[in-house]
Amino acid sequence: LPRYFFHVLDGYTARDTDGTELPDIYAAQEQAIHISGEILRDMGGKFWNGTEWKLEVTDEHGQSLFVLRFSAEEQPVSLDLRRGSSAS
Amino acid sequence: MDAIHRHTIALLRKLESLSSLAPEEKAALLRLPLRLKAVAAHQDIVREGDAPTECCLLVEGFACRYNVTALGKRQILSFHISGDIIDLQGLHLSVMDHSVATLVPSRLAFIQHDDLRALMRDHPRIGNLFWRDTLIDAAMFRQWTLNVGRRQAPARMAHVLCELLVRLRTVELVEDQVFDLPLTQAELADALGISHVHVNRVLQDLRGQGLISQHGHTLRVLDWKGLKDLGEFDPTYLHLTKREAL
Repeated sequence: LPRYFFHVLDGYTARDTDGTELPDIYAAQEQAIHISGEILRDMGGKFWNGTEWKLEVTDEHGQSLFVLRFSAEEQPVSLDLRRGSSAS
Repeated sequence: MDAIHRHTIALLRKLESLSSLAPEEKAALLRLPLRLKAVAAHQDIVREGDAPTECCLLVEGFACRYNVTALGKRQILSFHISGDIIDLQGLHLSVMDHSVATLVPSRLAFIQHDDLRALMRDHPRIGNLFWRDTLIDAAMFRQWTLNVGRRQAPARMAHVLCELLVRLRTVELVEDQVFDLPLTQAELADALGISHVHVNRVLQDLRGQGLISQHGHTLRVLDWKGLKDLGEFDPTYLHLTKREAL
């Protein structure tokens, strides 16, 4: 089975050196979503204070296959609401 | 006697952590006939569906109990260490509802169910102790369920590490907050119900917080209180009598 490597690019996490054996790239895509979900779940509300992070998946040769990007964008109205609630 | 003693000493230490043993009870435990076997890493000892006629005492090594989903995803249900009779429940539940496997090269001692029944008939207090041991087993599963069902990954990891440290200490396998943790990230992932990528992040996080340090398979707890707080670890469910182990 081919081995895929899932690198969390957040300026903090070490690169994936173990990799995971999966049947094909579709399974790797599914696993990428699964891993991202775990990370988001644990971040919870902290996600809103963070910067963008990415999950990059590479093959055995280090070739980048796909990238998932995660960032939160707050619209002005949301910032106003938060300012309002912290003032009250 | 010494040769036999070597194989059951961890079991004695473990049972004595739950209750005191009389000299004749210790002697009876040491007289148990054992079938010794060395097993490589990652081998099934008993499988779901088996109907074993003997129980397996882990003399030395590391083992786990697990179940697998239809899609082949494994959930590790518990870790086992020296002194554990891993499938003691087989004495009363004839068909295995889960599998037991080694995680590292291990030394096992098999005890015939008939010999265990005779031991408990002659020494009812040992029977009570085995009952107590399987109840504590169930208590550990309750904590495990809470852990993998409701805690965030760093807390899950912290809880499992705390439990291992306390249990390893009862069989004198912890020195100076340091113990051997010969598990791969994939095995920790199957125990915590997360991906190995997340295990990698979580261990890095725990090291970054100054709670643990790792050198190969050696794990040192640097901040016991911090690790307990993160894992919400309260050892009451282990029902140890020797409180100094905590």
